[in-house]
This record gives sequence, C-alpha cells and structure tokens, in this order.
Amino acid sequence: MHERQPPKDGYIYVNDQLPAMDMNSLTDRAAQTIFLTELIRGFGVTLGHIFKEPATINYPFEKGPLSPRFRGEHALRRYPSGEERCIACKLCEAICPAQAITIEAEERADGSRRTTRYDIDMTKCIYCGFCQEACPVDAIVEGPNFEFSTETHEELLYNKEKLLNNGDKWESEIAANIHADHLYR
Amino acid sequence: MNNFGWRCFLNVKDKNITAIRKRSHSSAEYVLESVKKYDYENFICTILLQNNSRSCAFAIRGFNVEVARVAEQVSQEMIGSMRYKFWEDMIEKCFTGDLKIVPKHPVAVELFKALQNNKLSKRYLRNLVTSRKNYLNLKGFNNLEEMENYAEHTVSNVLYLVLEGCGVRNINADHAASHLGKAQGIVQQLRSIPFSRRINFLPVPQDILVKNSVSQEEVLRGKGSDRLNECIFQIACQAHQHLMKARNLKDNIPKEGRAALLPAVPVFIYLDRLQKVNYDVFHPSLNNRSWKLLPVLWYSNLRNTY
Repeated sequence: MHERQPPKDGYIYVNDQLPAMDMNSLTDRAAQTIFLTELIRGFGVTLGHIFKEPATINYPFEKGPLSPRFRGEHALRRYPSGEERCIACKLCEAICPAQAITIEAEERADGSRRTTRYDIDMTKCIYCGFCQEACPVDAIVEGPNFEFSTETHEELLYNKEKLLNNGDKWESEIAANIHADHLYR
Repeated sequence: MNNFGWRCFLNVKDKNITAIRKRSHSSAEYVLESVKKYDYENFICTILLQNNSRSCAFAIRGFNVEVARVAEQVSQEMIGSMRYKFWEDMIEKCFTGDLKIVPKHPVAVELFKALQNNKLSKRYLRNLVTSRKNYLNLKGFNNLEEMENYAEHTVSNVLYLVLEGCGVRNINADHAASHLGKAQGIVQQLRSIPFSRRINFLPVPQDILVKNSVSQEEVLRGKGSDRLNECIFQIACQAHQHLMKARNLKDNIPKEGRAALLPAVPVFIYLDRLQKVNYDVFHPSLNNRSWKLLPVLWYSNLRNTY
C-alpha cells in the first residue's frame, strides 16, 4: 500500500499515486471490471442527462446572452431628428491604434462640418472600442452585432453608407445598451 | 388615432424608423430628454424655472451631463482628456458668437443660444470641464475636504451658472450656491456608494474609513455594518451643515434667484430618508424615488423658498 509520504524537506508529492498492487485491491479492481459497474454507472449518467436541460443552444435561432459592453460591428448613429451625429472631429481616427479609420470632411452648404468619407477597414480593426470611447457625440459605436462574416475581403471595407445603415438597423439595441451602462455622478 | 393604426401595420424593419420619428426633433428637446434621463431630480427642479432662465438652465444642465458622463465612458486617461479638449474648444467657439463654427451637437447649439440671450461667465463653464479633467484619474478621496472640493467644483459651478441665467449676480446667492453645491455633491457621492464596485471608485474618504476602522473591501462588497453607518453619518452631517448654511442665507437672496436653488429640496429629502434608515446606504428603500419629491418641490416653488 502506497501511503502518502510525510513532506520531506518541505516538498509535498502531488502527482498521481500508483494504484495499490496487493492481492485485495487487485481482486477488487478485477471484480469491478467483470461486473461492469462502470458501464452501469455510465448509463446512469446518460439517463440523468436525458431529463436535464441541454447545455447547448440552437444557435442561429437562439442566441446566448451578451454584455451591454460587448464590442461588435461598428455603426454610425443618428440623432432622433434623423441628422447624423458625426461632426468630423476626427478623434476616433486619431485614437485608433490599428489605423483602421479614414475620414475626409468638408463644410456643407448650411455651414455645418460633416464627413464626406468615413471608412473603416474591418480587417484591420482590433475591436478595442477606443473609437467609441473617444467620440464626444456618441456617433461611432461598436454595436451588439457579431454576425457579419462575408465571402470577400472587399465587403469588409465599410464605408459611411454601410455604417449609417448599421446604425439605423441597430439603434434601439445600441441605445438600450448605452442606457444600461450609465451612472450619473 | 389614425396614425397609430397605420403604425401597427408596419413590419419590424420600419419599427425603428417610426420610433425615431415619434421622439424629439429639435436640439432643445434632445437636451431636455438627456437631462431627464441622466439627472432626473435636477430636471424636475429645472422645469420649475421661468421661461428664459429655464432654457438657459437646460443648456447648462445638458452640458454638465455630457462632461460628467465622460469619466465613466472612457477606459484611458488620454481618451478622456481628448474629449474634454473637445468641450473646451466648444466653449471657446460658442463665445465667438458665430453659429457656423459651433459644432452641430445639440448641447453646443443650445449653449450657444443660451449665451445669446443671457450673460454667462466663461470662467464657470471652463471650470466645469477643467475640474472634471483634473479628477479624471481619481479613484477615491483622501479626506472630507477633498470630497468637498470636488463637490464645489463640479456642482456649485452649475448652480452659479443657473443663477447667472436667472439674471442674479449677488454675493449672497453665490455663497448659498457654494454651500448647496457642496451638500448636493456630497449626497451624490453617498448615493453612488452601492455602485462603487461597478464605477471603480471609492466614494468614502480615506481618513473617515481609517478613523472608524472600516476596510475598503467592506464598502466595495456592499456589506452594511454599524461602523460603516458611523462613517456615513459623519459625511451626511457635513452635507447637512452645508445645506442648513445655504438655507439660512435665504432671506438675503433676491426672489428671482431662489428657484435656481431648488435642488436643496431633493438633497434634504434624501438626507431625511437616510436618517430614517439609520444611515445604512445599502438599504433597499433608498433605491426608490420618494413620492414626496414632486409635491414638496412644487410647494417650495410656490412659496418661493428652497
């Protein structure tokens, strides 16, 4: 019988001990194998799981929970009046560590400064969320959508139109997430 | 009615668009919504003001909401200072008097309008931004004075501006606003204690914790104890003193300025409720809004007191 040794020099043996090889233990193990108790216990586990709730979800139709801070596909938001939020301050372009954002801006006829081009290379993006943090008007956000795989690389080079469409599509979720995460002090 | 019926027939995709249409359109309405959402008690106090000073006060409150939210939205100090730089630039642009160069943010537009109609000090507006910027990296207060300073910088400055919007430039009014701002700021910190873990900020001053031998962990874990209640009592006392000082100055303040100091009412109500639950900030009853708030505010406004 291999008893656990008392610690020598302050060390404790933590690896698996060898199975006992005396006659009694050997016959016990042999009997267990012969009488197939493991097999029956295995069936028991299977039977138990039939009555349990499944651990998996039916993915494309059921989705798992997401944190309100989840950083997924980008979107450009609009004001409730329909006017786009982005005022071309270029803070997101400056902070982006992967340099995935390209902005060109000019003045509109009414004097307001707006972007003429707002491109994000989604294959460069590292989803750090800095653009969202840097935006003073909450225009660029990383929404809750994570299902935007495409067949070609070109489809992942997002332009302003695509981003604004995303914003319109996901506005209610994005607004809810922003509200879920606020605390005024 | 007809419009509503038509909306019911729209498919899911159009739902978002109608939801957008139903909501506000002008920049004033946007600012109103944001103050209501993030700063409800001050929102109620602000709607009790008179016409012109009310729109001005909403611009200021809306601006305060924007700068106050930055600290919780950013994960790095540099990003925060970038955003504060944006707001600093916006103040400069608003004071040039040229709407064309003001960024088309609803709060900026409202602030610009307020500046056309009222005379507001640029210093106070800048103070609002710089104080937030200075405290961006703050994870707690060392002593009660530091907490008071924070309250003075972030809350009193708003009250000075609202008073200016009401056309009151009076040393007594400013004195009362300073005390009231401190009281309100301290109460805001007390109310954020149950959320201290989420905001990664310890709102109880260190020296008071040490004096009562309470560990930071106790506060963060949200376990109420008699010793912690004693800490809260000491802080709440300070807030109460400031509130009383502000109220004692009432008779020296011009009548049109008193409505600007209405936030004293919710502060008093909260302190009162805190006393009733024996200074246990984690008491679940404190999470609900008091039913007394609206009638008491209305009545105080009617009597022109605060």
